[in-house]
Order: sequence, then C-alpha cells, then structure tokens
Amino acid sequence: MKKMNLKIDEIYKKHSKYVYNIALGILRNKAEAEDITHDVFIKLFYSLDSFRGESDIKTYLYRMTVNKAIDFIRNNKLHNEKIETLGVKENMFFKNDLYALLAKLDTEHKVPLLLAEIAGFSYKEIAEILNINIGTVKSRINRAINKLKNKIKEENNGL
Amino acid sequence: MDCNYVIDNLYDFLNNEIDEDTNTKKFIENHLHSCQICKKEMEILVSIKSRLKDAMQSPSPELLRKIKKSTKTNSWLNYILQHKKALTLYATFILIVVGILLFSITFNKNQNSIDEFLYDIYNINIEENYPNDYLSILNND
Repeated sequence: MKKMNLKIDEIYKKHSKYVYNIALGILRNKAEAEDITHDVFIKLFYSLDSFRGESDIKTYLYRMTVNKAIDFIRNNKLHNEKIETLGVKENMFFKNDLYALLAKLDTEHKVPLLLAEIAGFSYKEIAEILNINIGTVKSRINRAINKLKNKIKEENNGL
Repeated sequence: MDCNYVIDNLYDFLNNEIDEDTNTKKFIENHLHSCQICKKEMEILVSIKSRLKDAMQSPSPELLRKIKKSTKTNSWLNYILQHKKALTLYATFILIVVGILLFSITFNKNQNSIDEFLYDIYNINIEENYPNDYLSILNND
C-alpha cells in the first residue's frame, strides 16, 4: 500500500500539471479540470498493478484525461452554455488570449495540439493515445496551428 | 513553390518530426537562411509554442491531498482494488484445484457405487468369481 502511494506521488509529481492543463484546455474551467485530474489519478491508483511499464502508464493517463474531459462536455450541456457566453477576453481562466482561443477550437483539432505542446508528445505517441493514425494527427495539428497563426497575424497587424 | 513546401513542414521541423533519412530537414534549414518570409513564419510558430507553454497553470496544492484522502479509506478494499489482476489469477488457480479435487472425489465415489450396483442387479457372486486382490479393492482394504 505504501509502495503504491509512493508510486502515485511520483507519477503525480511528473504528470499532474500536464494532465490538468490538457483538461483545462478542453474544458476551459479550472474546477472541472481539477475534478477530471482527481478522477484520473484515482482510477490510475486502482489500476497500477496492471501496467507493464512507464509508457503504458503515460498512454493510459492521458487517454483517460482526454476521454473523461470529452465525456464531461457531452454530458453537461450547462457547461457548454456557460462557456459559450464568455468572450475570449472575458475568460479569466487563461493567462493569454491565445490559449483562450485554442480552447475554443474544435475538440478534435485542439486535443492533438495540446498533447504536443503541453505534454510534449510525439506524433506517434499522440496517435497511440487517441487511437488514430499519424497522418490524422499531423493534419489536425496543422489545422489548429493555422488558426492560431491567423490570430497572431491579426494581432501584429493591429486588428 | 519552395516557400509553400517549407511553411507546410515548418511545425514538423520545429518539433523534430522530420525523418533524418530525407533531405527535407537540410532543405528547410538552407531555405530559412535565405528566405525572410519563411523566417517570419517560423518566428510566429515559435511564438505560438512559447505562449502555449507560458499559459500553463498548476492545479491547486489541495488536489494531491484530496486524491490521497480518496485512496485512504477501507484499506482491505483498497488492497483488493489495487491487486485485482493478481487476485483474479490466484482465485482462478484455487478454483481449478478445488474443481479437480471435487471431481476426483466424486469419481471415486461413483466407481464404488457402480460395483455395488452390478452386484445387486446381477447377483454376481464376487467371492467365487474374482480373485482376492480385487475383493480387497472393492472392500477398500
């Protein structure tokens, strides 16, 4: 039991910030992102004996985070209505407008980018986590990046 | 034409996702030395990556305490939930062993009943017709 607690502490120290920020990027709400992070680590705690190694744990952890966050959005219409009424500038959960704009992208485009930029995963790892092929990861990330680039260009042009 | 190709592959280039085997990486590096437009595109991408990382926040310090509290209750239940896989294997093994034992006990009991049945039905005089060692098995000597 003590060993399990130490292992969870270790995993929490390494991954909690990334897990939380991926959930935050999808949900755009701090309390909900913390709830998801909490649930994910509880589930991980009770499944620790079934993993063969570090990479299995990582894949499981982030796959569960994404799935739980997406399920939360699907099952909570109230959440979506609350978020939609917040404008980009009014959304105080994000340190900058860019991140707030990212959060407003379609889930299927922003999730791969979040996994790449927040957690530092390669295309191959993202493909494994999301159970899609590498080409799809590339095209979704590029789509998200192009939208963000247009935003930056608007800012630079003073629009 | 070159610029479009470079811009399309710039993000992969920045993330080290370009295969070392191809000449694409070298081509992009060389192109960036001389093309201001593509260099500007790269600066924008670098800015996006940096702003996304800067925007990261930490969960509240309370969160780890909440997680530990949730996993502390019912220690025997926690033990079972944490070791599901191993316990399932042990339980399966024990069931198989018990199953084999029960089967062999039942089989032996039935074998004796068959012999008694034959004796009653056919009134076989076992003592006259069978050698002594068989009789001793039947009588469980």
